Amino acid sequence: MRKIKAETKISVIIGIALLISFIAVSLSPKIVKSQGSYIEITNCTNITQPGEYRLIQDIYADVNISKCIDIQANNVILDCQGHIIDGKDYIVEGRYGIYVNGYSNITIKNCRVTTWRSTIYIENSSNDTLENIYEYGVNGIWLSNSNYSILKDIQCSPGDFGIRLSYSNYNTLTNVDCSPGGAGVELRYSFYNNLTNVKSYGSGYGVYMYFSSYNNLTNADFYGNGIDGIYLYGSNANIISTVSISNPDNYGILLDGSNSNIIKDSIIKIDIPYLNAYGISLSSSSNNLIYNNIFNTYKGNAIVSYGQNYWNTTLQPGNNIWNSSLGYIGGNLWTTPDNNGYSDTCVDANYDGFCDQPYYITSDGSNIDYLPLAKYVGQNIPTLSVVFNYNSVDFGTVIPNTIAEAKSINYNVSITTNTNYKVSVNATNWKGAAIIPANTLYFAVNDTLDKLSFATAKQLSNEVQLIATFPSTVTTNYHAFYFRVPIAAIGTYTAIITITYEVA
Amino acid sequence: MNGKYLWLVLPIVAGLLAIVPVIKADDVNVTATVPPYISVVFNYNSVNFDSVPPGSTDVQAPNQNSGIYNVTVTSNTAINVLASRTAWSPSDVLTLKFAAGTSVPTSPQVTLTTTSQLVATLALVGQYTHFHGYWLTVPPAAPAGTYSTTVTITYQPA
Repeated sequence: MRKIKAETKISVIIGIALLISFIAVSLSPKIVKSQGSYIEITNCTNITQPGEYRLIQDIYADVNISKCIDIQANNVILDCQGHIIDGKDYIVEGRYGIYVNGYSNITIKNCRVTTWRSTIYIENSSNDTLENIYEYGVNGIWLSNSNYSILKDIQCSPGDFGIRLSYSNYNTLTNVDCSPGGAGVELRYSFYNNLTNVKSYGSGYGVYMYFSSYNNLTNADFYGNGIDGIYLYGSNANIISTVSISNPDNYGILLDGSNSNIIKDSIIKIDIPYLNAYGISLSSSSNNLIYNNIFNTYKGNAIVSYGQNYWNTTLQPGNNIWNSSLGYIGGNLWTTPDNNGYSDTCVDANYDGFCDQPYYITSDGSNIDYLPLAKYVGQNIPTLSVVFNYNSVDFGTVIPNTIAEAKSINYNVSITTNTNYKVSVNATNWKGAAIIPANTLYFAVNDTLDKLSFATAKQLSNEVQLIATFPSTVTTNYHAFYFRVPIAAIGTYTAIITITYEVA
Repeated sequence: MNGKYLWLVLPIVAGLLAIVPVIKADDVNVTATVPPYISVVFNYNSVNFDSVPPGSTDVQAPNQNSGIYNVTVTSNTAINVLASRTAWSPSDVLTLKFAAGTSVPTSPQVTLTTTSQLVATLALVGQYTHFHGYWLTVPPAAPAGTYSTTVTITYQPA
């Protein structure tokens, strides 16, 4: 009886020993131990239970491992505590540093995920948080069909993309610094995402949106992008604001088939002369609203091929991007590195800080900035000083049926101006024994006396008509007058010719 | 000046600066004097009656009806036309009558003498053609021969 009991006991002990052995093969050495509210991990593992997991050492995963940290549970916190999850190889397809598919409410933080084909891949998930992440891989952080997640304090290094959202909506990206070969942040078929504080230097694109709409991009800094600072294709109703884009190779911003987007409060600067790059290009894109931006390029600030767009808002109180002291916003500043853009050369005669005339981006009137900003308040106000050095002309005795000439070096005016100017003339009818119409008078004006002749003179009338336009460099005008004397005229006649000088 | 009102002054100064003359217009008084003017271009300089038999009266100059004896007048004033002739050579025995008008004259108006006389007054101004007509009377006793005279026609302001 006792023997029987003893055998039974041994059998039970063996059974327990086998069970312990099985569990040890499954978990050890990945999960070292549970420390109360969290579990420490030391190597690649599948996380299958909710809870907090802390990586307590760097992982250099064997190249045979396809998914180093595979999270297979909801409500998981993975805190790498600054440790590295390194895949040793970024060539092999299908290898992931951290992988989530079908689970939500995941937090991944303080991780350095390096040398993977795909560093962090999250699919069919929501309400996740990625925080303080450094990734270095061919594919950066990829959210696919994942919504309502927060990504903040993300750093990316070279690869195809830094962060990609595909079919992912309502996500928030904050403090992103990604400079891969492709796009710093790439949105594909993704909507209602917020991107804030995004930096991308030397990447192909700062931000790339492909059929992605209703997204917000705020506070971004893109420099030296190999293609475009921001590229939108088939993407509508996005808001891009307070973005700084410098020296991309092609376009600061390119909208292709993209409508109703808002681009505001941004600076697009291309100040390297050899760059063949434009500030903004709209191709087959309409109803976009682009205002309160600074465009500063050599090649061209804006080009539009097909589509009506709006380049200013109504004049309204706001923080003017160029001159905050104005207190009002409207259109954009159109300048160039050598200060000869429209905003440099336009006239602000009313001292409101806006150019007095609209800026026609396209000649067909479909793209007009009605409130372009002036570089300086009250700039380029034309001045024109004209001193007439004579005030009467005497033809003397003239013969009917001839053309009398009154041409003298004394008939001249002195001009001081900073702008082109034009000369307009009208005349009264002759008064005398009879009325002789003004059209018997002819007037010629030029910068030298020898250029004046009846052949070049214009017939006058009672109506003001433009006679000539001169550049500011012409500082003396000579006048000549001609009188086609009617046959029937007799006696002394007088007329008044009004010569008007005004800025062209 | 109280410093707190300085900001009021600056915009006013700016406003004044904005008033920069960009248009300058001056009136130039133009005068011209057109004196009385008459230009007469004679489109003929001789009249040849050819052979006229003695006893002929008021023989019209050849081709006169076609208006070949005319002058072109350009004038801005009314004109008096005066005419006279010299004595016929070799013998002052012929009678020469004259008429003038803006259409070809068909009958003599005055008999020319060696004293200048008013033959027409032209009130027209502008350019027009003034036609002349000549008629010769040869008395029966006139000796045969070739006769000549010089007719002076003067256009002068009326």
